[in-house]
Amino acid sequence: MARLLAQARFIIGAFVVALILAVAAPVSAQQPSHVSPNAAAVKEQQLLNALSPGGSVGGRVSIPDQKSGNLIHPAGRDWTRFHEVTLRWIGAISVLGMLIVLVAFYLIRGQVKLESGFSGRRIVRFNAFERFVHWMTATCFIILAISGLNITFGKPLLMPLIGEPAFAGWSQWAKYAHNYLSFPFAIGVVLIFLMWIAGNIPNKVDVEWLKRGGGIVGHDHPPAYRFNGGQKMIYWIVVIGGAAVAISGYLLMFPFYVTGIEGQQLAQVVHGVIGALFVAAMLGHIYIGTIGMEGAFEAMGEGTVDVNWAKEHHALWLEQEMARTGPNESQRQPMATPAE
Amino acid sequence: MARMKFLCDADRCIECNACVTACKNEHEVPWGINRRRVVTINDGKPGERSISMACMHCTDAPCAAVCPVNCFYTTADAVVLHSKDLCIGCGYCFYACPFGAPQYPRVGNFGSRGKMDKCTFCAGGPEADGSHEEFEKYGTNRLAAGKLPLCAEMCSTKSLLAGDGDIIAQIYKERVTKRGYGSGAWGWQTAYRETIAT
Amino acid sequence: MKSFVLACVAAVAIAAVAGVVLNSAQKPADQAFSTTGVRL
Repeated sequence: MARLLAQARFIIGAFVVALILAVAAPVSAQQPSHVSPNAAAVKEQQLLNALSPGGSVGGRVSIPDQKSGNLIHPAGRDWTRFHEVTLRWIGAISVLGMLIVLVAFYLIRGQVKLESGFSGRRIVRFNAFERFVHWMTATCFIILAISGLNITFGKPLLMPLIGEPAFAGWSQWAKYAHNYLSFPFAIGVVLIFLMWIAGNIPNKVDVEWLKRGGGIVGHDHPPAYRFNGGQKMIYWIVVIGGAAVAISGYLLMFPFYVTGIEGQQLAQVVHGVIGALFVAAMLGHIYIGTIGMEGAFEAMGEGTVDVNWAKEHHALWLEQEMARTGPNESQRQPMATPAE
Repeated sequence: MARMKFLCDADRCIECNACVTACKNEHEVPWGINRRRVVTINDGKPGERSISMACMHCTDAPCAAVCPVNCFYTTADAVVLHSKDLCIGCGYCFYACPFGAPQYPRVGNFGSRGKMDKCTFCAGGPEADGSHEEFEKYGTNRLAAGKLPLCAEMCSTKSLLAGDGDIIAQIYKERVTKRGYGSGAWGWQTAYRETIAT
Repeated sequence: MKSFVLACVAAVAIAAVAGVVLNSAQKPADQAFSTTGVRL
């Protein structure tokens, strides 16, 4: 069906071309009519006018590669301009901008300290499976980000430093890493979606949490359940952004299985833009989970957090946990065995 | 210095595919790769035209601009060539090319495309002219031997012209003047940013 | 720490399996583009 449509489009495009006579006015879209081959000379400018809305000219080929029936497809140059210029601006502004914002934020606001100090009592926050899934997704993301940014920024930034042959070799391996590690990353995103969907539905507590600055703008301690408003934003960015880059990425990895050339170009645009924004968002997530907040990293690093930390930042979650297990136990039911 | 160009006179092309066969034979092009192809527009209808298309060797080649590892280069004759040693098979040059010139030897699931292959204007590649390595990777280097591309030499109706742009434009202009009409130089303005006024 | 190491190992393992599966399914162009009418 797709091929029939493709052929119909080619024929219509060909009609438009053959129809171009010495008419001054720009030719609007498809108007099939009979054609006299002895008509006055067809000027190429009129042909290009017909092509300019993003159309293409094509016909029949006798070889099995039917893609080659596409004769002229000027949108390729628009896509080139996007990839060489627009995407670089989007990537540079979002990633560098986020880095600058984070550095400034750290210098001005400083680390979010645990104001009541560590109590020494711990409570389980993330179990082993949750941490496994998170770290598998995270490490894959780091490598995917670096190899992906290399495609857009490697040529102007890295190649002048290490020369063309070394850069080509590095890029070849980066491409393999990017393509193969996409599978564990996609699996991780699906697992994250399923694992934590229950705790990440937005509600009124999150609105209140955001209104009170989330504890990071100012020194308030707005209450939150297991995942606060900021974490829910990250969750949905990961799930939706991850789905978008995975789908567009697999369209690129299996080219022309589903789409034609325009679909491939669009898939690359989506993949590049969302990838760049994804990197910027994750920089913020990495910041707050490491240096941005005292006592936060251990939640994902070894699974438990200090009870005072839970009280200050996730008071409602702590209440739920205490009600479930009792005030003297630090483990969540129904797990009786330690998290590790 | 000559500025090499292709021109396919769509009023003369009879879709014989001699150019396609000549190219595949001369360069021992791997199976499945079509450096040159003949596209028939309006097949079976009035105004049917056939055009032979390979690589237009553009002035500001989009393939060269978009390549993440900069494997393309332009020779002094303005022929656009590339290095298969640097190519990582990402496929971007095919997305960028308005004419679909780049080809890849491996397709199917996981289109890890392999090294890109395309029309070289019979000018080989970065290896030494006429060397065995150059032939293995890129095919014959006719330009270094002072000859023109084989597709144009083999064209049965002399519709496909290849060589210095000024001479070709001159030939085409004479034809158009004599005939009283011409279907335009397909792809000329897209590739070379100039027109042939007839 | 253990979950992190396990995560890295799992990522590499899944990637390797994916690579093997996909490379075995790959076709060279002469098979991919052959039809009943054309044997390249």
